Amino acid sequence: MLADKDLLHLCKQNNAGGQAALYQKYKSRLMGICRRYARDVEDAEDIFQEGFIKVFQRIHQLENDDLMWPWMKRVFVNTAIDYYNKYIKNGNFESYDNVQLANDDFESITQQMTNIELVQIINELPVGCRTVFNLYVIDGYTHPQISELLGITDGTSKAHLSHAKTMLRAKLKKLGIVRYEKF
Amino acid sequence: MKNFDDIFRERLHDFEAGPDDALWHKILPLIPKTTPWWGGHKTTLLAATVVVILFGLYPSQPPAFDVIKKNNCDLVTSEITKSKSIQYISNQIVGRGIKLADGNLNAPLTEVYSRQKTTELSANILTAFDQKMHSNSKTNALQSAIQRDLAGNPTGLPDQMFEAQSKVIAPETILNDPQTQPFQFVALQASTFKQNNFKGNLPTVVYETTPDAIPEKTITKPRMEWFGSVMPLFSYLNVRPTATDQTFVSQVQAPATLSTARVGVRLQAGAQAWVSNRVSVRLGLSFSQQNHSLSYLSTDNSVKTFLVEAIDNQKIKVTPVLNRNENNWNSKSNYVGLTASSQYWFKKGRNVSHFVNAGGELYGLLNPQNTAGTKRINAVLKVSYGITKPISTHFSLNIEPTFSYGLTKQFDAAKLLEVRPYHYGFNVGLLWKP
Repeated sequence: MLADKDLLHLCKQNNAGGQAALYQKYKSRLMGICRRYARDVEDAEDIFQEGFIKVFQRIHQLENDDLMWPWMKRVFVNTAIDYYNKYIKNGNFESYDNVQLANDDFESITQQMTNIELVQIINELPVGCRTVFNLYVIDGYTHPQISELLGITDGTSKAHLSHAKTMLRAKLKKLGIVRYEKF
Repeated sequence: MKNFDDIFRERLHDFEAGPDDALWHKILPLIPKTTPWWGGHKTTLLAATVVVILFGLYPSQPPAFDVIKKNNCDLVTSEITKSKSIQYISNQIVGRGIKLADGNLNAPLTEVYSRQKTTELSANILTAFDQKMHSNSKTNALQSAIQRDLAGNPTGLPDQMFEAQSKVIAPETILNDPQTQPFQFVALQASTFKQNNFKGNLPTVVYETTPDAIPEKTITKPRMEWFGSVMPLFSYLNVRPTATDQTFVSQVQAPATLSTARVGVRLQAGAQAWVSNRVSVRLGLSFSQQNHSLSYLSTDNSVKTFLVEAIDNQKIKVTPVLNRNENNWNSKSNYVGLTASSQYWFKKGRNVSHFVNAGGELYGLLNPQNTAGTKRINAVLKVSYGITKPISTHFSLNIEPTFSYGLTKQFDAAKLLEVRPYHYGFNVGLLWKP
């Protein structure tokens, strides 16, 4: 597999082989990001396609091959956020079930699930909750960063996160794999 | 027990999902086919802009900047000449395709992968390795050796360049065969590959040693290098009158900004040693001739004469005339100095390298008898931006616009002006690497 340095050099020259090699090297990891942020596979493929086009359009701006992966990841996360914004503008608003649940032993619960099953229950979250959950919990963004990226307040970001966690717990329980806390 | 966030983070941070194979074919037509006008070399362009702005000059033709950083040959050292074989991570480009009737090959580049390999080095290459020269020059020598191998091999392809695979047919055979046929080849260590080069020519193969290929202990730092340079020097002065109640200074005048009266010269020679792959230090001796001049009027409160005027038969008007002198200060100072500076090489290329330089110089006046008021020992801070380009096996051309600022105050001959010199120079020199 070619090193990032060579891939960057070839892609900057719009070398078709280099572009194909870059795609082959990172496609699975980047599709993993898309699947986490999207509602379903179709949306994930839209984000994936748009993200890669942006990568090839903007790769000339990248100078340091050490930053190849973080840079590509950021492009894809931003593409997913664009998708979020588009979705919100189209009038899809959030609604939450007001569920209060105990803090269960989710470690053992989730051990019985595959990664794709975990992604699928995240996919079922409303778009705002899903995006904030991915940004905060998995990709390590802070609430101030998220509020800037999504154009929402810190409070809204925290509320989305809280709702996301509540709903995820509820979904895990619905799957019938929750072991209730011992009293 | 892990908290809720950690469970999801650990499981999904590196989550991968294979996309549908058809997606690539949807993306492919939407990828831009043209390279931006700046070619992705923002650093180089920025550097060029700095040089142009610094001097207010536009080069008559675009500078030849390093376009492709093909190799890691800074790591090629004489120590690996002892080995007749070398272990390396092979970046292999495997091509498969069909030769078309018009001689073109369709989409030959389909896979890339790496693996650990050992290869024997040919005599030509070993000879090139043995030569004592700078890495850039050594790269050229190695590539020449590889070209000789290519030319001398009846199949056109030395064994260490191309490796046989199943159903392999040498590219030349494919091209000479009028019939369309499938082919497959593997180019070892080929980081770039152009299918058009197969149209009657040998393939272009870039032979590289990769950083992973050479054990850390075999890497040696570049040796001491020597430099000499000459620089036209424009001298300017920050001037502050040292006026008192008794003396006034007015109408200070200096030559025009680009006047030849300001032009001096500076010669420099010394050694440059590398302390890391990116940082070097210089120590050298310099000789400089600095020219500048000032003229001004000084007026003191001593009475030179009186103007007397009769107003009427009873009154006269007496006006004292103060001493007023026109002063000219022409300084043509010769200095010998000791200079020390450090360079950071932020872009090292095969053809052109860029660095920034910062340091200081301590210099002493050689002709105090001709330069009244000028201090005998002075110090300056210097910053410069440099570009080097190899011009032969041992020599590199060095272009280095320089700005220096005086740390020591001086005075004109009458000690009525306090001056602090600063200079712009365009350093042109040679760097010699033994």
